[in-house]
Amino acid sequence: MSADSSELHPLRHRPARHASPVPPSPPPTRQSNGNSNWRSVRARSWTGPHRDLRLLRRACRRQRRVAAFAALGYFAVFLTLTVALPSVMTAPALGGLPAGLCLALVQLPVTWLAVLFYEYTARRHVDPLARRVRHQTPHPRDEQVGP
Amino acid sequence: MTDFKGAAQSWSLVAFFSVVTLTLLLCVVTGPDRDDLDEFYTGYRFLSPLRNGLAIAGDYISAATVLTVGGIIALCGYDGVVLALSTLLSLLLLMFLLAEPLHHTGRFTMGDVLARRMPGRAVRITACAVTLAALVPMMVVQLAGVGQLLAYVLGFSDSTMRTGCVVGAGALMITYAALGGMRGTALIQILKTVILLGSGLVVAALILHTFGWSPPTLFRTAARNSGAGHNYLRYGLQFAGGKHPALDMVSTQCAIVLGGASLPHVTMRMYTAGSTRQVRRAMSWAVSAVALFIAVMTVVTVGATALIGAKTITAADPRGSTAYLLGARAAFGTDLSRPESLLFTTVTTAIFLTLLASVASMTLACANSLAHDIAARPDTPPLREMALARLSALAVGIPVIGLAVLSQHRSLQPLAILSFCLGASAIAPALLYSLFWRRYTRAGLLATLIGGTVSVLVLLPGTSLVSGTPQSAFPDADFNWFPFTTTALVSVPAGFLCGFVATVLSRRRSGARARNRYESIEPVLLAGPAYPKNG
Repeated sequence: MSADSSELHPLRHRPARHASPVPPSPPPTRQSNGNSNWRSVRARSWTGPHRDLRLLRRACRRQRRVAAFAALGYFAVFLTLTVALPSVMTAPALGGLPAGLCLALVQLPVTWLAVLFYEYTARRHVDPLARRVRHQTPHPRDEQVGP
Repeated sequence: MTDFKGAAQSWSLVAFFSVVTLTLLLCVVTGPDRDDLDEFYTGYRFLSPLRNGLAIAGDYISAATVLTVGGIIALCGYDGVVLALSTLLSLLLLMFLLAEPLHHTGRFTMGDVLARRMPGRAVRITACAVTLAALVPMMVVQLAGVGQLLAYVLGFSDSTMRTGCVVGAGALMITYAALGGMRGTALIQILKTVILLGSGLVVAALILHTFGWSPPTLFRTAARNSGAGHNYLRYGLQFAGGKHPALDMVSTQCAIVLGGASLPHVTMRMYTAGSTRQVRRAMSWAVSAVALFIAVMTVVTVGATALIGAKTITAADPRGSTAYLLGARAAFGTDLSRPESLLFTTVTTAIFLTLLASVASMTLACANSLAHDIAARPDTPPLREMALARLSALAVGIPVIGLAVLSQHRSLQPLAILSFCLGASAIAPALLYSLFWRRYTRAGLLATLIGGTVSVLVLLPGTSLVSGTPQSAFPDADFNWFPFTTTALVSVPAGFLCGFVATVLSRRRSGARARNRYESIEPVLLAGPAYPKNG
């Protein structure tokens, strides 16, 4: 949905790298030429092509997409099977219940697992980046949106 | 076994009045301490994630869910279970997609979130209008449901008493919203979730115990007693009369999944959490609580069909609204011992609380939006804005009571569907676009909100829920031309398309501005404000 140019040449996702609390080494692509080290990148204006923000944007997007597609996908497949292939869904499964009902009831524990997984990945991959970006934002108090 | 005569009824009466007294007292005691706007709109400054999660779950499990979905599970089996699951999925999607950005950019209302992207009065006024259009029908449904349920449980049969019940419950909900603000309603919601889940778990355990802790036995017995046989365990009972049952089912699920959690009374609780992590944790608790409740509700209502049969349920209410209560009553057997009748009274109490609390928080969402988005200007003093919000609760509540009294004898399903479809076709696209699409322009936003709303309002009167069948709201008339029972299959794409087309058309002039604006708020949108909110 976004027209971010970094989308066209996505970096391969390496989870352990930017999630670490220590500043990561400069990426090999753009900022590795000579003196442009981590500190100078940090000092840049945040409206520019800022690295942390870009990483955060990518992490958030990935997180959102995987989570939403997994949740919606399971349900869409379930619903499609229900209405398009009723014979599959009425075949007896566990304990004589139809397979459709079993799949439906299984969704409740799966939801819990999804929530746990989401919390874990968000804490691991998104929160450290968000914290870093938050500390760089120059106008922390620009919250007041008048009516 | 199914009547509420004698002891059960007097206990219910006692329970009802103690609930009313207790919650009113709680509202007055915990109302905003000072004349602080933040406190009225967002409640406690740092409600712990567990409590906030229970409050979100309380907001989300409305009386319509318990009564309507419960009835559909009891009568249609499989279709009802799928409906309940899509309710859960909706909250899960809210957690995954919108909760954190909403928390980061919103302050008090949905208008705040949208105006953060596109400042302007037109945006706020439209947002408020859509909020009202989506929530007022839902409030009418719930309030009319209060009348029916109170009359049934407390044993009032004549229509004057029912009208009295509706008016009384309406007055109560205005009082909750106006006196308690976000703080009072949060407390009532927490109380409600705890009582509903606690009593429900006991009842579900009793029912499962009756069937030897074997869900297959429970479902098979229910199928045998439902009168539908094996069809009870497969899809199709709910939409059996329609022209395209498969598409109809997909359309309904689409409306619930997209619309359920984007309704403003649920999203407004996102603004009350302290930090990103807290909002995430709160949503985890909320999803867990709702998942647990859906399991409980499935067992109790399927148990109702298994224990007393579908005929008894439809005799009490043709749409099965009372199935949850009947299931709870049947779980205790014919003679109630004292602890059993006390437990059953707890279930009734939970239902009363659900009815009262969900209407109260919807009133609050409407009142907040009216006061904050339309009535108040940036220079309005906080004290005045709070008075405005309280007056708005009155201004929203009184017409709703009137509408509920007028519509209490008709089928209320189209109104509930109207709410969900508006949420899915106008609010969800607007929020998704404005939070995640950087080129989205103001014209696109207005087109999404207005286009989505108009498409629902045009299509819905043509469905079979409104006219044409004996179950519809106007059974005598027949202007049914739309082949589905919900409009989501057409109106959701219409809402998204309106926003897309208007953005593309207006991009030349305002596209760059929209992009710049998005870039300036992106760090806050993704990472959250640098200091905890309200701090």
